[in-house]
Amino acid sequence: MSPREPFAVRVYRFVLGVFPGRIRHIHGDEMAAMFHASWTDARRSGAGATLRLLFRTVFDVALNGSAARLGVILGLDPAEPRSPSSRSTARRRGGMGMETVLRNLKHAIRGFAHRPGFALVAVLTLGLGIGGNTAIFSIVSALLLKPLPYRDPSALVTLNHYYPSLDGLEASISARGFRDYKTRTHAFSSVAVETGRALNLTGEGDPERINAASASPDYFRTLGVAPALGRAYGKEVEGGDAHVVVLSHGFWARRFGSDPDALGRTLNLDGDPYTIIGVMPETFRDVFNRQAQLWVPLVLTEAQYSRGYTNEYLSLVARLAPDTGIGAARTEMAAFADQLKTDHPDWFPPDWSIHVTSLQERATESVRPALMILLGAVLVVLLIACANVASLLLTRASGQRRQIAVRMAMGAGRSQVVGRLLSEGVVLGLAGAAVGLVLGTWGLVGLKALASRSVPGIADVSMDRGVLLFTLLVSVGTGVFVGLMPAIGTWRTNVSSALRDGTRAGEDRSGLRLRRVFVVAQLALSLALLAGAGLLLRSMARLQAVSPGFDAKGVETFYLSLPSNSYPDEASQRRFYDELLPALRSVRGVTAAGLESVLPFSGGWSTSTFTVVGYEPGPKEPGPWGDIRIVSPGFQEALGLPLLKGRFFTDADGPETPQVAVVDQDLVRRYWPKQDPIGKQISFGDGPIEVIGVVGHAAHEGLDADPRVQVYGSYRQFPRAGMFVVSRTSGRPDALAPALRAAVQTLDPNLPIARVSSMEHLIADSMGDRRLSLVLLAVFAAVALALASTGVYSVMAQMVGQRTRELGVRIAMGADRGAVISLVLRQGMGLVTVGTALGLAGSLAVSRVLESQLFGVTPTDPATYSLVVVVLLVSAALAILVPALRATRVDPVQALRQE
Amino acid sequence: MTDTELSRYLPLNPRVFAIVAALLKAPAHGYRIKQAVEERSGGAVTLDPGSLYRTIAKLLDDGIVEEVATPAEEGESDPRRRYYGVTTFGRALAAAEASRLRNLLAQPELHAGWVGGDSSE
Repeated sequence: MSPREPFAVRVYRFVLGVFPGRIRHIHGDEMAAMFHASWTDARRSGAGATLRLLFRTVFDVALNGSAARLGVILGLDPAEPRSPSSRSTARRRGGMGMETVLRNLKHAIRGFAHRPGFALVAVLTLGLGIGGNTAIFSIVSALLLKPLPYRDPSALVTLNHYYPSLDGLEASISARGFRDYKTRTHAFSSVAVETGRALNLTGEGDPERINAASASPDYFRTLGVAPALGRAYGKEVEGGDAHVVVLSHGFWARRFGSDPDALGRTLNLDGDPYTIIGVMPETFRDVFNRQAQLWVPLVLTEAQYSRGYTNEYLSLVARLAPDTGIGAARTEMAAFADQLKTDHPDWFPPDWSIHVTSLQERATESVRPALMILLGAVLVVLLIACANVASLLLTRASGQRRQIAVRMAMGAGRSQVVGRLLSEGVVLGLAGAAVGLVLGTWGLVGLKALASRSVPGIADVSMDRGVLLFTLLVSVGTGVFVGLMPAIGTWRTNVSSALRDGTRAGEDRSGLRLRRVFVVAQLALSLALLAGAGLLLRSMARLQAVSPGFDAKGVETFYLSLPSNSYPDEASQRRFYDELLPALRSVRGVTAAGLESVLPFSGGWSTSTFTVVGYEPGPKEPGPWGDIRIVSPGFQEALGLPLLKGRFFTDADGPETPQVAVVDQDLVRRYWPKQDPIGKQISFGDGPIEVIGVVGHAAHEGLDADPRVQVYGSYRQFPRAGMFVVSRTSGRPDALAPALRAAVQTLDPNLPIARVSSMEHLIADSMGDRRLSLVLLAVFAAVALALASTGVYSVMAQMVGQRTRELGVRIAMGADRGAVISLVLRQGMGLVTVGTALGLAGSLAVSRVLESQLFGVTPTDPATYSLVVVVLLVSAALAILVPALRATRVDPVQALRQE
Repeated sequence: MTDTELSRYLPLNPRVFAIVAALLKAPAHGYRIKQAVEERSGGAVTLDPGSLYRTIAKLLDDGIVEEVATPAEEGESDPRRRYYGVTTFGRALAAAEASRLRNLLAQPELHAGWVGGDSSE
């Protein structure tokens, strides 16, 4: 494949997969080249021509591809090219032309216009399935399939320090590592690092806290993206003026009204003036922090480079050197890591290594499993919808059997008849696509609202051309599928017998058999979806029952960061917070207030290795490692964290008194089991710190995250510029925000408060992606159940209709209501039982795909499956009951007279 | 080959006939066939890639056309391009179809405004 092929041609190559291998392998390149030529012409002629070409192409590929494949399936065509000597099965054959297609489509539309009710049901059913697929595929396409918006994104990789013994921790990179990987390896043509940063913007208007990134001078060059306006910074910032800033397009539009004269102006960031030198393109997003609005130079100092290899805080992006694959890069980095461990055995755990991951993979790994499950689920819904509509068409076709036979007797070829039936399917599919696009658009709006906080980047998702093409392909494919079922029946029609026996429409036994197969398949598929939804629901219930370890109710939080020009040293930072705490506590409604450097569920974390005095780790055991939090007196009360032993920090613990720490009960259990922890010592390398108290463990990343041990220090001994403020109230926490903001700004009017949220919201957000999967899967399962029940109902109704005579005889012979109902129910429940059994076996077999999404339940949880089976059986029984009741009302006299 | 063998293929699908006719003079590649057919029919017959190559695949199967070496006059050509020419059997078939059409057109009724209608109705 030539790398210069436009996206459309690559998509075309992909969809050529519809054709059987014998055509694709031999002619695929030529077909793509031909499409390429037409595409180039159409693009030159404008949007109208492009759209026409797309339509034609979709028809061309869908019809000829499926016809060719059908030929192979039915054994009319060989799978491989046939030798010229064996021309025994010669027939009149040729590609299906556009003219015939249009004529057939017109005919199909006319037919449906006569039976609008039938068409409406079919179109809405398909629309539901297609709409769901359109919405989910929009997200899959934007988040998983679309290449990252950088130059040659497949050559971009990221590096991580990997610690298998620390719960498989994939850490960032240290400054020292960055310099080594840049200068001492050959796999990369360019290496850059960045670190997330929040900056206080002051000057015009309210002070604002801006999500920004400090990126090394090579950052923009590595990504290969140039600013849309002005320039990016480069090497010149090292040793030169580093007070320059590049704006995101969004920030530029919001703050400067997209004024090009913004270039050259200054922004006051953390109290320092930065000159605006460039604006990035609208599509550009930061690699590691999609929300970043500004980029400022990251100039590392010799002091930073000389810190330890495991002082990891930089995110790294590298571009592979030309002709270097990711495999070669992995080999080189593995050797490099081994060399480092040999040179400095005491720096790294023995199993430490460097991971090289493709940037695309890293960017999508968090959402991929859930999205793939949802895509699978929504495809299943479409399949069920297809089965319903195919079943409807089958009923209709068996009614037309005689008519078709007459047409064939008059000389119409089988292929013409089949073409016409296929066209009916395609018309339904396309109309379904129109409905589906509307439903899909609504669905996407809903999804974006539901997922805006839990799925990064979902705000950028839109229905682009790729999605439209997908919808078009899906709908034509759907149409061909639903049209094919009655068509296959026609293929086998024996003209003379169909003409001879004047039987009524409903007596087409083979059609009914196929419909029963559909019902079984629908029930089985519905059961799988119900089981998935049930498992997620139980996971969610289990998760919500988990205590975070503290009392989240009534807690309001926000973040403060003291700019270094107004608060240059530890003493001034301590002084500010010393004054802030009493001010917060005097706010009406506040019952307790405290500070914490890294708040649970805030998305950030801070970990460190340390030593436990008197504890020697075993030879293969990693040293102590855990969460490090800097807090204030009153924090434990404000967060509602239980104090289990000793005391918490007080104002008496200060810079002059001995350093003290509070630890969580997990640390005590692990390192001092059955000992009194009070008075024990730990160390971060600068002398011993005495343990004065023990608190409960507070969940950090999420309720389902693996816990780490936790160490707390006081800000009065280890001051920080940035702190979360935690305030407890007896009332509604959200109502507290304005008063808290006022309290902060009385002390410093230039200080913005950021990330205002109640603790309960933070915890709910941490389950956001789970909730999204759950809601969607539940909706899909409900739709599937409704469709499958409709399917059961309509097949049973047809069955009762066909057996009217027999039922009439039974009733005439004295069968009572109960006997008739049980006769119909027995027959229906037979189908339902088979469907349920198959569904149960199938979903147990594939249940492992859900494993990553579950919490506290196994993928084969018996309780869930039992409940799901009951739900399915009850719904199906209700669907059968309606025709069963109708059967009891059969009038024996009329039934017998009918024949 | 016998007439019976030929007659099994007749009447030829108009699309097949148009493609074979386009190749009678000289071998050509797919895109050129498309251009020739569309030009000859005044745009009435259009060939999209799927339809064209599905037909070509069948013509190859049936030995009506065959793949030929790149003609010398083409010079440096795209290596992905394949050239197709009509086989002897294909020529005979085209001639038979032409004669069938000639006979058909010879019916006087056809010239009195009877032409038209949808053959598949």
